[in-house]
Amino acid sequence: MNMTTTRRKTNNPPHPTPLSETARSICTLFLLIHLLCVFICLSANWIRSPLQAGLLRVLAPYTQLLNIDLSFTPYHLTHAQQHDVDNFIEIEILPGTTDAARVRLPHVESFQGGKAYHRYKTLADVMAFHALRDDDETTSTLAQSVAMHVLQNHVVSSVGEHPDNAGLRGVVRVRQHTLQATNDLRQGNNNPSADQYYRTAYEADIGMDGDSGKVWVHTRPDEAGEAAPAARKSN
Amino acid sequence: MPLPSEITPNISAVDRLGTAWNRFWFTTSDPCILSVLRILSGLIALYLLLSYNQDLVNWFGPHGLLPTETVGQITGAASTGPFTNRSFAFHVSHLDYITSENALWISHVLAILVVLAFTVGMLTRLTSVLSFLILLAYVHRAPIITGLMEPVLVMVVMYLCLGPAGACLSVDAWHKSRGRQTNGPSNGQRPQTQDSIAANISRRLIQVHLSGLYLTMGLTKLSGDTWWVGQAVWWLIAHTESRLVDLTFLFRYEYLLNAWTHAIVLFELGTGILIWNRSLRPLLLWLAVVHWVAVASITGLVGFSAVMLVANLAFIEPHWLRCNVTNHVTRWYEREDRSLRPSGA
Repeated sequence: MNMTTTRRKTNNPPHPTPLSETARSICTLFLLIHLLCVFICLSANWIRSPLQAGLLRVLAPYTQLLNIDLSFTPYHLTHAQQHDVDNFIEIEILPGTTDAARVRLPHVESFQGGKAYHRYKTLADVMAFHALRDDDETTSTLAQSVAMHVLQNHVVSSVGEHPDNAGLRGVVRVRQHTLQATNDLRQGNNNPSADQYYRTAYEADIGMDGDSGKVWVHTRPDEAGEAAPAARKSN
Repeated sequence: MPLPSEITPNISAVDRLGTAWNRFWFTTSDPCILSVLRILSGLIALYLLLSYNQDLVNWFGPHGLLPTETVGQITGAASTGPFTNRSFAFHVSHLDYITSENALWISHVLAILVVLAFTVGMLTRLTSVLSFLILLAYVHRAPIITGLMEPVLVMVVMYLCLGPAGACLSVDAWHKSRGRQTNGPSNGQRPQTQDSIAANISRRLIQVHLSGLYLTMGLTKLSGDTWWVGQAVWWLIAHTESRLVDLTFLFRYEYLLNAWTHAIVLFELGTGILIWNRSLRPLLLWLAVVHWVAVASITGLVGFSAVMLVANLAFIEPHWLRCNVTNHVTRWYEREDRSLRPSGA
């Protein structure tokens, strides 16, 4: 005898009124529309056809507002691509302006399983992803925001609220801590933090104009000698 | 013109489909499962919000890492507002319009209080909707930094808004039962929560969405070579800056790494389909515990693994849950309540 039978014999809770046929039809219509949206979003998460992309565009007001649209959320965890490594952002404020300082995001001392740690890591992953795809516009836009935040905080924390911040400058980098292959370990390379496992995916000079407070970013050329156009942001 | 005998099988097939559809969606269900999901997803939502405490201003403050304009540029929405977009981006958040640190903190504390009220089941109908909107607001404020956890959490809370998630194990239920005790003599029986169609629809939507998500996870894995050649688990283990447990020693056991990789794909694809089989469901639910604990250990995605485990509870039979969990908690509460009540009351 199952739990439902026992309970009803002993206490007889009132039965809910069944839905009318019209109500069921309306609910069915909404369910079908919603489930169609869910299906399209889930099926178009990582790779999508022009049809799926078009449908997503039409359904965007509904799917994006409800956050059903996963759009490139990496539920595959890894594809062992160039960007599927430990990425981090490094900001170095150069000496000659104020005290030299180096900021690393995510912070090394944070708990690696924590959401706060993973938020910074996701930002670094996004920057690395776009940098490796040569999408300099997106990368430099993000680099600019990071630069502005770090420079402002550095100015405030080191010299007070109304600093003389003329000529404050530094470098922002997206660094990659690449992964040890099993063959590396078999060959005796046991140190995953050796220099050979680090590389730079993106590097840009940053600076703050003294009076205007504008932050500028100039992407350093990569090995191919290509540089993104300089970007500016108002304070 | 087709003969009636030729039409009948088609009609009955349609009828059978309709009956199955009605049975699947429009039968009644015990809401206790929704209450358990409410508590656990509420706790995860609280964790999500509390994890912002340290860096709230760093992210969303006036000089934060992700100003609204930057997010607008990246997502495609114009900086002037979410609806005047360049391409298509619908990200609406009250946090976009908060410009001072104090206002940001006030809004954040209020958000935590609302989600806390949802978790304990206080004014659940209202707080469930508000919690859903709050979670959406945080996601939409900075979609760039949302991870794997948020879409699943938002999905669970969204569907909980549809059903009576506060029907039991909640302040609302406690308040209701106290009201009954005050208004009339008790016949010694515990008040029963009413089965409802809304509870069933809510639970079914979580189930369908979740099984789709499992299939998506499995299929996107198969779009990369590394999951086919059995190396993916090694590449996850090798992330020294995100893993929780160092399993590097497994490099000696290549077959084990291959088997683990294939098992993950098989589990995710299998769960998406076979979870609908009642006989296999308990096995798959236990395997899910092993799977998600292992994933959390090697990837550091603790929140994501936790919310996936919680969402899996939607597949537990409500009556089993009532027998084994809800009734025990209710009896414990009644014992405590009786012992605290003054004698003669």
